[in-house]
Amino acid sequence: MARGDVEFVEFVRASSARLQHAAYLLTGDRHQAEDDVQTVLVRVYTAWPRIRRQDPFAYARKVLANMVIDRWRRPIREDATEELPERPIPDLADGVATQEWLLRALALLSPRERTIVVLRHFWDLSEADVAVELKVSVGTVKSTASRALAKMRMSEALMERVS
Amino acid sequence: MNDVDRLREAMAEPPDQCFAPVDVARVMRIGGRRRARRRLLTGAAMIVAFMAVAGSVLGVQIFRDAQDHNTVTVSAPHTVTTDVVPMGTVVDTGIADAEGRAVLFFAHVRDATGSAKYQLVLAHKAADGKLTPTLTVDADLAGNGFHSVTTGHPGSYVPLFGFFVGPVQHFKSVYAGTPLPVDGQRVPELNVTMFWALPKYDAEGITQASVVQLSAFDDQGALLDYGQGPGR
Repeated sequence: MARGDVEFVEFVRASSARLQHAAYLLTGDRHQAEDDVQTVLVRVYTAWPRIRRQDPFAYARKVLANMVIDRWRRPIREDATEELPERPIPDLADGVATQEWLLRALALLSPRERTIVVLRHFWDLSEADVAVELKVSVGTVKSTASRALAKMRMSEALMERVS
Repeated sequence: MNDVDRLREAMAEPPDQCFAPVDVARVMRIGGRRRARRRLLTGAAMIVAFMAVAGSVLGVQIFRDAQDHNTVTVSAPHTVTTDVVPMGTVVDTGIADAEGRAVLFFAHVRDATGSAKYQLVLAHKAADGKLTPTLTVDADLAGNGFHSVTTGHPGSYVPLFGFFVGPVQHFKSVYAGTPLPVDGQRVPELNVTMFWALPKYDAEGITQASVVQLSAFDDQGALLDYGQGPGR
């Protein structure tokens, strides 16, 4: 195996768990997340000779974020809805409940809002870095993040009221 | 802890899902194919781009060549005729060789059918004044511009000669991208100007197939209207 391939295998081993976690937050679906990470890694491997000396993890993160947004731009897509999906209300005392709430709250967001929230609060990127990564203005990042958090708060309030 | 902190904490928690391990071999197989395809496309694109650039450059060159009136193709030297008698001034080119000095003059001759015509003659002039024609070329004196542009090789050291009809003061010439010095002398009897290129090492290669750019300028240094290439 070539040296570059060895490095790539090491990269996959080190990064796949976090990428899958992020993909799961972005898609809300385990199988979709697995497929997306597989696709992202294929693209990373394609570009590996070029990016291996730069920041392959940032490249993978960027591909993943843009892939989610691009999927949303396609003619057939699933739009975000103001209506909460019909799911059983979890027990908030349970540790799993936080994850449930998180996914339900993220499901309220548009793909762009969701992507910005994940980049800001999961990857811990600055607003400026998010803007660069998504090729939008910092103002767009701020307003979108603010709107997204408002939606999520509404979800949380609803959960508390139901519980 | 505010909303954002709680959100970050929730996101940091490991998901309640068990993800399948990444199939690295499959990733590398598909990625390798994509990389090879991309390299092939990049190579093909570079070849196409190179061909396009080369084609456009060649096209422009051909177009310019077609448009460039100051480009003349040197005609083949004619066979030597005998019994040529100078008519008007015998122009000494100043170019000497083992057989004498190269001179240019016009001759008025009759061909086998009895028709009269002018000829431009390149000849050797010996020390005793004897003229030995080396090359002759038919001369048409009508019309302004360059006429009878002919290579002096073989048989003479003169790389190129001819005559110009019109008020020319000096000539310029370019061969193979470098200037080729050209001298001229007026022949008042025929109201034309003989011109000839001076011998240069890199001008020895001028042949029938060579392309030489000739220009004629007036006494103000302006290019004559018909001062590019052969007049007719």
